[in-house]
Amino acid sequence: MSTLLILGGLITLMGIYAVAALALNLQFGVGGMVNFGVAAFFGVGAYAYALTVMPASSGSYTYILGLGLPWWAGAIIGGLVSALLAFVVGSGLLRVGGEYLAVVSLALAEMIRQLFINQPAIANGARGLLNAPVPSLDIIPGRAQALFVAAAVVVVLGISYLLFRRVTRSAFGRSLRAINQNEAVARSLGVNVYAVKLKAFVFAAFFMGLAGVMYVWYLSILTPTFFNVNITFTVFIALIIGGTGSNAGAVLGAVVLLGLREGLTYIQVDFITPELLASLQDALQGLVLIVILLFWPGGLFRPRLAVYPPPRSASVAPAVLATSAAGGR
Amino acid sequence: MLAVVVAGFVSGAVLLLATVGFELVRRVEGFLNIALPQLIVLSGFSAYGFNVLLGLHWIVSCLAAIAVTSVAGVVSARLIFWPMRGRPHYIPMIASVGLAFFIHAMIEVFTGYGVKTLNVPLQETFRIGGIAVAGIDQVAVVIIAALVVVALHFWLSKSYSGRALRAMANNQALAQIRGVNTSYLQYLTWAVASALAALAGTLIAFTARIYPELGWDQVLIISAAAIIGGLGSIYGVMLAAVLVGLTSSLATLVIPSEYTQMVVFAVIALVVFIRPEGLFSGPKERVA
Repeated sequence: MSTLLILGGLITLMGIYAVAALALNLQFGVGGMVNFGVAAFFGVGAYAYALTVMPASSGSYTYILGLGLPWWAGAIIGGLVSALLAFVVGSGLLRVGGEYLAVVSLALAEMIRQLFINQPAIANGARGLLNAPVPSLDIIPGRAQALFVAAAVVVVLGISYLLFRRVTRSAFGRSLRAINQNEAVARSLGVNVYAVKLKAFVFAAFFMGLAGVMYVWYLSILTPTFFNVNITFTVFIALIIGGTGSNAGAVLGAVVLLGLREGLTYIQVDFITPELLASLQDALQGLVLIVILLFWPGGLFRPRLAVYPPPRSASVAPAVLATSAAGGR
Repeated sequence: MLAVVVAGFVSGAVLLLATVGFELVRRVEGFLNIALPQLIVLSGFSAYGFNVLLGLHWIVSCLAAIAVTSVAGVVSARLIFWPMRGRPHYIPMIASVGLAFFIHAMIEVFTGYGVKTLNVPLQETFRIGGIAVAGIDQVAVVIIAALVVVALHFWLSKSYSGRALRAMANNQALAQIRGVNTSYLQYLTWAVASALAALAGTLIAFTARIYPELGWDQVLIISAAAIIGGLGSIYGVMLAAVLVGLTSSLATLVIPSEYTQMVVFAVIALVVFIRPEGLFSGPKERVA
């Protein structure tokens, strides 16, 4: 039973990051939008879920709302609030170009984290909320509820995988890819660059919020560490390991990365304190990211372009693209 | 009040050094180096290591820390960023985040998690009418930054290597055709940029406290200064850095200090939405 629970926990965690990596794949892998604020959307979704699902504030800790909605309604609200944030942020930043998006979204996550820490009235400050409700069925006995959560996460992952596959293969997804490859050409072909980017950004942010909601299901507590920059880069590394631009790669990258990372926590050495282990994990993640970008830029799965001819028969295209891209800058 | 203004100028001066280093890399290499602010912390902690752990004199250890950090910056460019030439500009940016994680974690592993200070003798303070206005160390920081600005000005406008560097930042291929030794200049760029960040780090260690998270705090404020300064002249960036330092210091008079970063963020947001080309740059060049 306990091995099954550990396995269920691992699958839950992999599923959560896989959903986030799928969402990031649409923004960054397909659309070329460098969103360093994954944690902002993740955390906002998680908090929106907890604040709408928990019963009204009482006793030792304070938080706003507390509507006591059922868990599935809270999950949808979590995703929607995250999408709303993406709409507000994206409607300004996607007009002005790539670097600003990266910097401001990085700052955004940090600002929201500070806000939640410094305003205990919103959600109990740095100590966070304990005992956030998780989805459950009455017929399942106590500890096996974790397996129900794992099953729910897998279902969400399956649905989002199918959705993202549909979106990336659609005309919409192809115009997004065209914008990423050469914005000037896409614009001259009649693609409304800003609208396509904004739609993709908001759509993906919904699923980042949903990933945050599922992280609450997994931990049943939430603290401002949900906004940590580590979450953003775990998702980035998962996507880059798996293969930037490929949906299957995003899922597989999350499975591989989380498998390795959770495996590391089972290493028992006396002098390694939990703090030190966290630092070593960070160092290792950074190193893995650099090494993969340097030596294995394609990742595990290269994106498959069903419509285009294979690159060999179109040998002229990359050169043309490269020159026009250089001129475009 | 006056002390707050002085503190603002000090943090603005430190920020100026780091931001100029950040901008040099951004203009010559064309990407945001998120790892550069971590070099500030690296230099601060190596100064701590030489000064407190090895017991060297504080001036010697600051100079040694600057040397170590400059070498680290150049090595990182040689090993990580130069092999990534010709790939989309966000690839080296993401790699620099990986490097930032690595440096940050290594600092934590080797020196622990707490707040550290250098072993510097107690400083005299300047007083006006019996009120302490500024420490000698604070005045020294502003003077050092001013000297660096003057030196940078003469280097970039008068010397051959400075003018070649500006030419290279403008159009690398053209500079190469005209006989500029670009590979030498790239080493120089990274050395100068890292040395500026390192100087900022030792100055922070010298006047205040250092802690491992400092790099992540600095990333936001440095990129804020870079965005506000815009892509125009480097002097606009310098002015923006001082303004950001002053603003975040003066803001503490009006609102609680926890929200200083938010003020800076609000300023970035305003600039991005209203004047994305930066406050101090000329009319934006039309592209595409």
